[in-house]
Amino acid sequence: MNKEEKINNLKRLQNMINALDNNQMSVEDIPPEDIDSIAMLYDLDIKKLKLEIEEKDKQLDEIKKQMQHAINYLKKDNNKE
Amino acid sequence: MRLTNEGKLIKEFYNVICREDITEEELYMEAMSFAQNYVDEVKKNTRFEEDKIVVDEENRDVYGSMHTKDKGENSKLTINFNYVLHDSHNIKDKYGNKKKIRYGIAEKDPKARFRGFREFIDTLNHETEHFFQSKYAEEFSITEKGMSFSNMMKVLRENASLEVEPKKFYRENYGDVFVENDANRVGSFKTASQLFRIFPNMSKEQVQIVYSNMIETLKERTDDMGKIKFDNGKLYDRENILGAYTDEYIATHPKALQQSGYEALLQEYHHDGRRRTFLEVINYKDKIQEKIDNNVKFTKENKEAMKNGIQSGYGRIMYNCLIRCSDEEFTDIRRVLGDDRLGDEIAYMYKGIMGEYEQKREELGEIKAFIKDNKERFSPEQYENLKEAYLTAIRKIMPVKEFTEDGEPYMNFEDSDALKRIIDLAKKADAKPVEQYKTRTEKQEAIARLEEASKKEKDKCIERYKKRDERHKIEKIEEEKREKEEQIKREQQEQKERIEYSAKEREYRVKMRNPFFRMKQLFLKTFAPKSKYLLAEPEMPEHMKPNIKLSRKDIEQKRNQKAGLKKEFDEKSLKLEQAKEDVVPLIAKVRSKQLLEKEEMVPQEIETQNKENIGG
Repeated sequence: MNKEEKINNLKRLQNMINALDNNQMSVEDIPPEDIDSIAMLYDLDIKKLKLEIEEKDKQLDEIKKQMQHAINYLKKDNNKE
Repeated sequence: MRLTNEGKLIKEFYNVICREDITEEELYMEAMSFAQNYVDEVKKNTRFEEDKIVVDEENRDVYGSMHTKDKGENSKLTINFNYVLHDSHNIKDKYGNKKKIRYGIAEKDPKARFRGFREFIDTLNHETEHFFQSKYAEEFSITEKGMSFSNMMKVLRENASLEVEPKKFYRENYGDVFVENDANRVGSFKTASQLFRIFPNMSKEQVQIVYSNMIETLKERTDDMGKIKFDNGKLYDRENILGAYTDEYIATHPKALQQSGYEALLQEYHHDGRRRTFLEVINYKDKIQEKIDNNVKFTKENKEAMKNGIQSGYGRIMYNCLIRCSDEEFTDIRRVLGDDRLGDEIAYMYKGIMGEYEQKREELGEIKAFIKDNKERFSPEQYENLKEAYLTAIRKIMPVKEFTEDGEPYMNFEDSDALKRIIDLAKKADAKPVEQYKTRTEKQEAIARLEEASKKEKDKCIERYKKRDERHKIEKIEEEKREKEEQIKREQQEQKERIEYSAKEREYRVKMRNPFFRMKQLFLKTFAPKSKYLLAEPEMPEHMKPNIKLSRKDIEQKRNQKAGLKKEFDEKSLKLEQAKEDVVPLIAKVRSKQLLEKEEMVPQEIETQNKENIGG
């Protein structure tokens, strides 16, 4: 397969995945020769989502720390008064 | 005839698999769903209704397998749905034994399909019987109905033996272990009974299929209480070997006695893993009988039934103790108990061992009754063959002198090894009278000697187990080495095939790019398919082909996993946005407080601070 064919094939597979995700297509309709590729693309999506969730968790933790520091500072200040 | 819920499920499932338009994927889903519903129904209205059995896919070279866990955890029934769906011929099982031909429910031929269907139901009945075996043994109840005390102890001894020799014991004796033969009997005859009820108008071929399995079970797959292979490959009395393995396991893992599943072995062993002496066992037995007698809730008949029920189990425990005694220990036992009392206990033991045979006869008697009740379903020849097979099964279990007119065995117990030994012991006692110990001190010293002998026996078991464990470790290393070598070989072969295939495939594609060549190939394919000039598309090696059925299921799982993760991502994004909004006013408050603090400081202080900073 040349480069252009590969890109077109990838687009085709991605469209299939979008249709599967939106329930516009059933798993039974996947052509047999595409099953491995679809499975691989799903694995990539899942990996990407897991990384993004991890990033969100980190950001949330950071904000929670900031909030806690702020609260502690404000409390200390009130106690002094 | 009114069907049970189990029967209704089976009938419904059969109707589904007979549909013309059903695809293989649908069959697979239906079979999985049926299996789960069926096992749930089987344990309904039993004491174990709340214990879950989860049906899952088996990928090993095994049709079905039940893994029971402790109370509170799920049991798992794994089924290889490839075998359920398709015929499999002469394949080997994981022990390297050649398997018989199996039939699948996806087969178009109705006879093969019915065969596959019968096997599937048989497997479900067989495996759920394993579930009940484990649960009854775990529960260890003398009062509740379910499994006899004697059979419970067999299950536990086999479980312990499996821990000691996980591969060898089961692999070499698979056809002789009680748990398998008991499950075979239930699987085969429960299935036959269900099918006869559900399908009152079975064809001759269908009856033949059920009949063939019944014959095979009776002739080859029923419990024979016979011999099994021990370490050196020779055949020994099964119960003796199970006792020896169990001694080793309990001596080295006494904590197992606290776990559910092995508590019943406290009848035979102390908490520290030492085997109870003969005197301790009969004391224990007497206490249990006293408990039964003193329980006001039980009727007289119930009490008798319970005491009879525990007799075969205790008979075997007492026998296991006595055959391990040296002559000196046996003499001590005689002198403590007195020959009269010992005689009574030996008679109790003898009757207990006989009880094991009686129980087997009862179990097979149920099969005999089933054959008789369904006589009109079989041809005269089939019926006679079944009767003959029943007699064969009986002869395997017990020493038979002759049969009565209606096929009941007259047992010749003198031919039983265990009973012969008991008679020898009794004769030994009679032949040489001994004086009973008179003083308490003498008796206590004798009891102490017996306990000491039991401790020494435990130490020997620990030594034996250690040597066995060393051997296992070496075997495991060798096996891992062998597996690794085979894997490397396999990978090298696959790599070679991949390279060869890639080269051939490339060559084929290059040639097919040429339009003239393509036309020539098409011409040859159409008009001269056997021409030597026709270039065949290279065959993809098996290991490179995608496994379609499993991958579709994988994709479904991945799709669901992605949807779940997407949802989680969206929720976390929302949470993050909310948190960002919430933190803004707080930060603002902190900043304004900090600013205020700075303003409140005395101007001189600020000047001093500044000078210090500059270094003035």
